[in-house]
Amino acid sequence: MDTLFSRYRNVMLLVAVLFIQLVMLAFQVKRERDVPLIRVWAVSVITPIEKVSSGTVRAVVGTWQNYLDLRHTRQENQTLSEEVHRLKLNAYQLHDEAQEARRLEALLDFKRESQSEMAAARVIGSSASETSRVLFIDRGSEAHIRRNMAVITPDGIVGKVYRVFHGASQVLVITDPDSGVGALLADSRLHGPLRGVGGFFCQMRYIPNEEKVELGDRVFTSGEDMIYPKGLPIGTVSSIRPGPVFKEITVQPSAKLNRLEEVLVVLRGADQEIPDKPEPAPAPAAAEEVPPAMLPGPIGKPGSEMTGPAAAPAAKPREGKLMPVATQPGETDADRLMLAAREKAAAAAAARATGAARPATPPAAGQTPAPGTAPAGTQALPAVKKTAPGTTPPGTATATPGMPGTATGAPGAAGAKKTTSPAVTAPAGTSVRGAIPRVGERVPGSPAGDTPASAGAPATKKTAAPARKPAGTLATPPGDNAVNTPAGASSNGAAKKPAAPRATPPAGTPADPNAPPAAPKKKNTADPQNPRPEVEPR
Amino acid sequence: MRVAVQTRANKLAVEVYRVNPVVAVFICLIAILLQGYLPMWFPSTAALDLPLLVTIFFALTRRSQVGGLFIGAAIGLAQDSLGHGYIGMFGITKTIVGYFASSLGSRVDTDHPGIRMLVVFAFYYVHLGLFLVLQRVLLEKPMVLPYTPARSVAVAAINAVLAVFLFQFLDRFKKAV
Repeated sequence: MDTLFSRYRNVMLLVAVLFIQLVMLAFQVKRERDVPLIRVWAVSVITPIEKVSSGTVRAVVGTWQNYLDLRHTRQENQTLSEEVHRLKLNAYQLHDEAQEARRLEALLDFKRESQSEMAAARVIGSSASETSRVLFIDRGSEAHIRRNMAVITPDGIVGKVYRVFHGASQVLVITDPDSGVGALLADSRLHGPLRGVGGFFCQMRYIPNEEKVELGDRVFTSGEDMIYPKGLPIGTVSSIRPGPVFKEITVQPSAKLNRLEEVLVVLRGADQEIPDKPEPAPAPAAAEEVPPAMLPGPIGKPGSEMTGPAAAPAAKPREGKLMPVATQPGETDADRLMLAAREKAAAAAAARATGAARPATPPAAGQTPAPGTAPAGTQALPAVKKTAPGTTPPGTATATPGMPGTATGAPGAAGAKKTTSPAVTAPAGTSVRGAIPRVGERVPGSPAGDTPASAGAPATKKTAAPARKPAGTLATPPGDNAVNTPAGASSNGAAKKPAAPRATPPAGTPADPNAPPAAPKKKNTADPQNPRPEVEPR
Repeated sequence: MRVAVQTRANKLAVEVYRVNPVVAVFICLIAILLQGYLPMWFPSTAALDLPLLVTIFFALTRRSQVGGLFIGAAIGLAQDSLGHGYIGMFGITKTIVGYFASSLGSRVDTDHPGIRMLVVFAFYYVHLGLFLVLQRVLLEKPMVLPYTPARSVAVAAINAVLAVFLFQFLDRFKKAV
């Protein structure tokens, strides 16, 4: 037995070792269980060595790569530094381009929302002296830029075109002492001329000391200067000091006049309503609706009669920016007023349907129809809706009499005196306001550089003087006590007595700071039932 | 452990060598570690079978069947333990390889590089065949070559060539008994 074992010892050991491993394998396969002990032993033995070897390898490799193998590192560092500089420059450039794109987008949005026809221009330079505040823009006569066109930004007005060259124009900024803007305070509706005082501020003049003006009051263009359309933001009141007679009101322009890069030149202006004070943060859902505050001026105020379709479509509010009121293309305040008045008259007519009284507005006593106007007794109001801007026939007055430098309106004959072409005069039977081309609107066919067609005084914007209307046009009957005619505005009696001189000289004309107005104009906003009674029909 | 073996056919005396046990264990561990490490850095080195080469080296060096089978069993079981398969597959195959490699080494002079290359080439296929057969018989897995025949030949040749250099390197650690 010993001999057999010693003779086949190796084979028997082999068989034994193989058998043990086979049993172990069979155990694993049969029970689907592992032999953890062997694995634990193996892993316990191997993993420390693996850790040491791995750490050693990493250390060696790291030492080699980080300390020894540093060939071309300096050159690579230099290359990378140059690339970093290049990428930084690219980043700055892209940042500038992104900012420019945002500005242009804002300009484009503003241009889309506004009813005015505008041309974008880039500011390419400024005046070489501190005494004159002028800018140069890269658009000139080839872009139909003309003298006295308004230059604005979405934040506010910038100035007016002062000189026009081929390929460039010079813009007189509103802060220049020679500049002037017809302005009004948004809250109190006080009118007054705005003059530049140099630096970065303007001064609003001819506001009596007894008028209430507060710091932070917003100042908008009044449209009286025939350059800037009404409703453009100018700035805010930054300081108020009482003077001998008038307040000394300093206005800080809302446009960033020292950081202008792109501006808009108003080729064809359209009046816009002055927005109410911007709400803090309107809800997104509510922003789509038209809040009463966004309705045009006092008409849209709660309780106002003008809540009909004339005032329904309104633009979304833009805080601190212009808010064009998109009623109808080309529709002005007067159009809306007239439309509302027409509805009111129609309602009155329906109420009096049983009676024999004629609902139509009677012609003014003693007035004869001017040549080319509708016969007396013609219902004027319906014609308003049919009247499109630029279709006004001659024979209607558009200007306030007595205003120096403006067209003088005379009943019936004013159209002949005005420089308006037949295409822009109102048809007979329409209201005067409806026939007036909007402030800043240029008369088609008029020579370049002409003053805007509606070169009347501001009073013409808000009043419809019967004296300037042909017979049969919308007229406010004499003795209407509800009419609150502001000084200087032509009211019912305007036909009999000339209108008082305007307190606000047009900014387009050289303003005379030493010529105080007879009385500062204050619009009637106290009575919400009669927001603009000047054109209120009976 | 000293084993003096003589070829009985030609009665030539065959030298028996021994390796320091610590060094032997260290070499085995290094082989297993490199087998796991090298493919991480160089994927093509997965074709090498360093544990098999080390098993053959020690079996040929010691020329002891018992020593060969135990070395083969230990290396194979360690290789199994670090893998995810059943423990024993590589143990059995390398046990058999170690046993027969030591048997061969006790009969022929395996110090010649050509013979070493042929031995390793042959045992590579023995190892592969045993593994596949065991896998088929014991685990009922299909007998599928890991490589195409041509590629398996190339892999076997690469291992054989590598074994020549590896054995020459490891010869420094053996001492004649």
